[in-house]
Amino acid sequence: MDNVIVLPSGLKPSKEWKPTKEEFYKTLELHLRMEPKDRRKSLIDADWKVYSKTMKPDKPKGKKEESPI
Amino acid sequence: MAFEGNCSQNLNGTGVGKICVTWSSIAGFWRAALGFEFASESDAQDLTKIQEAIQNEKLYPFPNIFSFEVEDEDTVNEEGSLGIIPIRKGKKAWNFMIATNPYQDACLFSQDNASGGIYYISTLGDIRGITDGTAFKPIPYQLFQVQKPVENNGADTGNKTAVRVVVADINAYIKDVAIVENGDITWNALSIEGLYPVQINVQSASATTIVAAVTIKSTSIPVTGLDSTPSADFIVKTAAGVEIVPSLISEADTTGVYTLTVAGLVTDDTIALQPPSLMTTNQQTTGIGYKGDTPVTMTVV
Repeated sequence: MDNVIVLPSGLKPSKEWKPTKEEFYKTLELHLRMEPKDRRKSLIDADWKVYSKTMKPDKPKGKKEESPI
Repeated sequence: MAFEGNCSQNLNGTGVGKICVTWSSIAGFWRAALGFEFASESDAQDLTKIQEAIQNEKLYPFPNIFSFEVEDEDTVNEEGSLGIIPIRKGKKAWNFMIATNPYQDACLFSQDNASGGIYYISTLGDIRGITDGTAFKPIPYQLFQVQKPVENNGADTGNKTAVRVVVADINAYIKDVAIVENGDITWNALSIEGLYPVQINVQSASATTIVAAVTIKSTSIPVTGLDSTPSADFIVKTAAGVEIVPSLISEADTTGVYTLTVAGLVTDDTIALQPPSLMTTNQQTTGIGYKGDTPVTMTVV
């Protein structure tokens, strides 16, 4: 379970997966196709919120390491 | 309670009439692959060890028996110091009739003529085998025949499968009998089930998505609840055998239809279930597990 993210919808994407927001929405539309349309949209929105926050870039821009000297 | 049942004074052929083993008490049995044994009595009490043996295809629990007959070897009269007494020589055969389910039939019949031994479960829920004082071993047999299942003819209930076991050396069993008592185990030996053979049917495959139905062979009963963690239960490979880990797996509304998002799929990639011992979903309390078919080759469109 260490290499997955558990999303509010219950889906468990791999941490290796790096989709764009568009790809994420398109893929989750497919996986959640059995859900009613309205619920599906709110689920995907909630999933993206968690996913994008968790998968933020490893090294935030604008922050430099301090010189040891 | 440790192993018990030292009946060495009661060997067949010695003329001693007392029999310490009640054959008619057999309620079920497990076939063990050739060479398999529990290293100790405590291993045979450990459900995890039993699951491991099942998932590694070393132990094959059969469904509870429907009826049971002992076919004794020929009886001969022999004159000795106690007078003329009947002596049993040769082999003992156990004829089981088990009530089967269609999904189990193929699996059971595949055991026909396989080499190995047998543990049997008494009606008390004890597990019986033999011991050398340390290991808990199956009773070796020289013949293990599984008949093709007979369909329910309306007169009886359910399907039936006949199994005939000819014990290799009944004296060895009587002499070295070992019993793991029901009171020493926290689970029911008669509830242990074997692997369910399942198959995957790819409904569609594109460059990024596989939709596949997983069903029990023979009945097409959907296999629901497989683990959706990438690489937990499913394994996707290229034609060259290189694993491609899915990004996302989901099951559509517990119907046994799974959607896998996998990058860069091409024709001739394969999908399969992990070997039983590696499947997450196999770790259940009754020992039940799934045995996937050979990998299914996909045509990507």
